[in-house]
Amino acid sequence: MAEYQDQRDTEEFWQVVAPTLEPLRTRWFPVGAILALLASVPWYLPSDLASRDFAGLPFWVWMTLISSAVLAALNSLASFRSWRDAESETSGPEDG
Amino acid sequence: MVESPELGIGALVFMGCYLLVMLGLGWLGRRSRQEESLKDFYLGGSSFGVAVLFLTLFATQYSGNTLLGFAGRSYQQGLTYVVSVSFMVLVVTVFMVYAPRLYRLSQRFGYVTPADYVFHRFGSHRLRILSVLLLCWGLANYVLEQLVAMGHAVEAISAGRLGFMQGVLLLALVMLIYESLGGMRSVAWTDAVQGVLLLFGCLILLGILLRNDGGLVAVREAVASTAPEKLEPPDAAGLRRWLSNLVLLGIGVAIYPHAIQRIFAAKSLVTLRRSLGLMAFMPLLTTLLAFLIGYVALRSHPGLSQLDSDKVTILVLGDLLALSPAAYWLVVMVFAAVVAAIMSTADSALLSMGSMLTKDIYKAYLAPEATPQQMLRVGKTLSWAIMGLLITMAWVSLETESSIWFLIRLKLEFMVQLAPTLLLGLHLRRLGSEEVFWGMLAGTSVTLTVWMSAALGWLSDRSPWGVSAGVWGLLLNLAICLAPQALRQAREA
Repeated sequence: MAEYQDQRDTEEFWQVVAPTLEPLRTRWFPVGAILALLASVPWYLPSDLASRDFAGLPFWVWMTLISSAVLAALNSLASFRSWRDAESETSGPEDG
Repeated sequence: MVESPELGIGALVFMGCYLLVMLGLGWLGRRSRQEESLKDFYLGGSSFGVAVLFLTLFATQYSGNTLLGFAGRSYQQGLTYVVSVSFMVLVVTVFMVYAPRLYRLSQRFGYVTPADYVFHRFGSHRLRILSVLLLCWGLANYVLEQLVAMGHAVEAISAGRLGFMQGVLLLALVMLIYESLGGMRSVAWTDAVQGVLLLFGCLILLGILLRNDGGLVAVREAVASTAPEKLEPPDAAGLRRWLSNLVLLGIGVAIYPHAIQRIFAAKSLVTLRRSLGLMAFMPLLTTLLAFLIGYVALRSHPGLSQLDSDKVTILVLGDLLALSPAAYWLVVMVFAAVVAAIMSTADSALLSMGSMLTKDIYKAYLAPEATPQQMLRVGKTLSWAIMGLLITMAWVSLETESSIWFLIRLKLEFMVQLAPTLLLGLHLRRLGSEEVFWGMLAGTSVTLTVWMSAALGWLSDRSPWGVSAGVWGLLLNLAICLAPQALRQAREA
């Protein structure tokens, strides 16, 4: 494949840009990611529960860690399941 | 200054062997080149499979910033720095927003640098130049952070036999040699070895930290009596800082040009998807470890200054030396992993900077007729020259006692201004080059004004109302990008 040489064909750009399926075009990924992100910010816990100790860390820290783990799982799932491109998956970069 | 742990001659021999392996891989990378082209030198001929791609992404993403800088920040800030785990997870979420489209375009049009995309999408020379300047500014600071981390690490490993600047010079020289030999291929192969070291080093260290000397329960009891404020959840100002960090680092780190170039370098979509699918979980190992190191050090090394807090990882490792003879070699391996993390990030950032200056400035504006061979020569010469300049800057940063965290912010606050170009530009067809250029320029100007005002004492803080200068700049940048779209839609409605 040739290196990019200042080509300018915006029509082709927009014809090519979207893969068959991408995480942002699913409903579950953006909604799940926003919810997990909101849950990771410790703004909603009552203070007595927030400061309760679990295995050496306060509960509010655990909530951030668990929400981050959920977001990580969503990212991984999106990468494996919701990112498809018929063209790229049937041909390598040599002939793409 | 704090005393570094005594690691003895064994650690130096181990490190010497490690550096020789890096040079050997650089030579192998050179032998494996397929052609004298920019794509082969800067993207390894887009030939990386899952294992190499994952390890190079991993080793590049997690660096001296993470293991030294983040641990130091966690020590200074307390438990609210758990936000670091969130923003590093968010980085992969941001990848999911732009990587599917950018990868597809890069395969079709053969992009080598992020600015190839910028020019193809927007067709604006001034936007391309401003993008390259901002990205190079970010990368130069990034390499500088790594050099500072290198100096601290070598000083510690050699127990002061090698000084800060000698350490910087030694590692920088090894890095430049293997990078000049084989470009991205050498960098990715050395990254793969460095990534394995980093992965195992982190796993072992996390295991030890959680079990050693009463574990986290004992840490919490000690911190509750000496620095109880560091256990508190964020207050209203803290929440604003939290959100600001999420935006600045979650988005800023995701648009590192060397990370984007690794997306271009994937052999196929399947390899890229699998690599990112694995990368999604890495903050829960690496960033979490750095966060916990800072927490544990609050008990074992209280009262460190801002600059000395960058050494908490080294100090905590030193504490583990006394555990058992076997622990010695574990600690040496983790030290090697720290150095590996630093070098793998610095080499990638340097390579990326060389590629942009050569292709997007030299070839595009100064020597349009340059052959690939000439461009490669210019790129390698630039890498050496930039490194020379940055080594001088590392000395200045030592003299001015700048912490790694300060350097991280200095880089990201400006680089994050490129976010609309990538995140909106790939999704909004009607987004034009004018609004993107003026948005980027306005965002950069706001950031610069706040930084300068703070430096001159006109502002008490670089984060007015708890929000980083770069995030204020980004908000204005986004408003300028989106306002014409909104107005057009309102008119049409």
